[in-house]
Amino acid sequence: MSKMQAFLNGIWKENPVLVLVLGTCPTLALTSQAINGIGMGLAATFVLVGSNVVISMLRNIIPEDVRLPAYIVIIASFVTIVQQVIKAYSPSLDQALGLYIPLIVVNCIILARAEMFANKNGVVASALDGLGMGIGFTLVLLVMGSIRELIGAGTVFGITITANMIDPMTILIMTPGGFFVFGCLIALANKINSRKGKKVKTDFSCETCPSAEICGGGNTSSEEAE
Amino acid sequence: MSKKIQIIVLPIICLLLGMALAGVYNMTAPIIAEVEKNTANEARREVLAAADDFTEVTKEFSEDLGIKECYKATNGEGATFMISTSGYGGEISMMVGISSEGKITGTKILSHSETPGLGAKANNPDFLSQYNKKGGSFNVVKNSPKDENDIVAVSSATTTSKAVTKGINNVLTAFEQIKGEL
Repeated sequence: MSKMQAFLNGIWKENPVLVLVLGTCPTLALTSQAINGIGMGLAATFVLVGSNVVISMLRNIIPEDVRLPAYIVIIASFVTIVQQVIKAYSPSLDQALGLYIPLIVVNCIILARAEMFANKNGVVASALDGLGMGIGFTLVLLVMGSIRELIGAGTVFGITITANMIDPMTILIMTPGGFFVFGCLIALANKINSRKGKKVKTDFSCETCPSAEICGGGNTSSEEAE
Repeated sequence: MSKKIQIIVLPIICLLLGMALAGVYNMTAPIIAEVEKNTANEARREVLAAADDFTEVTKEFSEDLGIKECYKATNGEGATFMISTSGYGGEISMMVGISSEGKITGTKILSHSETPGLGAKANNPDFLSQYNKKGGSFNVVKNSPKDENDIVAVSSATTTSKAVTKGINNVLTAFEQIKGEL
């Protein structure tokens, strides 16, 4: 696919959160405030682009058998760099995101894109793919964070909008609210895509997950059990 | 690629990444240390507002006082103590500010495991402000204070109130030992 397509892919058509359903953990945990969503999105985008570029550069050198440890070491290094930079230059963001910065290492989006795209494509295409996926991730976090913060606390980015007019529904900034808004957004994305005639993912079993190759598609455990 | 070359790829990648990380760490470590020092000083300034900057006091206090750290204000306005005492439900950790004349300037409870609704109510400005602008030694009373140094306990939470008071009395004792240095 062309470079531009690779970039736009991650923003809507194969949006990592709403279509591929990856990276759900930070999506649910960090969207109680819109500003947290942006912070996490940008940090993850940096790691995504960096690791995609490095893995793409090394794709012919890393042997097949050790590719997972190699990818994880590369991703973990980028995350550590991001963590040190955030700790030094933005302590308030460090306070807000807390444990979720080191958890970017195990964010499925990054490992999945490394496995599915970066190890098969050139450096520029991989960089654009990482950028597109990262922007798609950040946009979803931003939208979800704004919705949850607006209805759940009456503010957006800390600016009071409806807090004094309508009683905020605090359940939306708690976990059940997060799941609810997330489900609604996935349903909305599927509705828009099915109207355009695109194939919509209705099967959410292990085999159809983009990360199926990495974790064995869930088959390993059932075979061993028998 | 032969098996031999394949084996060294991962170690080489790890080595190069390790070097890159060491470089980033060296660049950011001094900045992070500065940030952490400023955050700690902010907490100290909450209990000793008149201070500008803090330097550590390295005196060894006796174990039973429970002093965790002591910093004095560089402009001579007083000192702050981080102290821990045994409360009802466990350790209570507090930051206490004391002026150069030996009067308490502020108390902040950093962590505790007291009962919510009872002992936890000690972590309240109404209770903690009772110690301010006073020195010497404090006693806990249940209702009517007769003396300036009588502290009215949080109702139904005498143990917690006594623990906090004991901590502050320990700070006053420790202060006597360092007041010459201020």
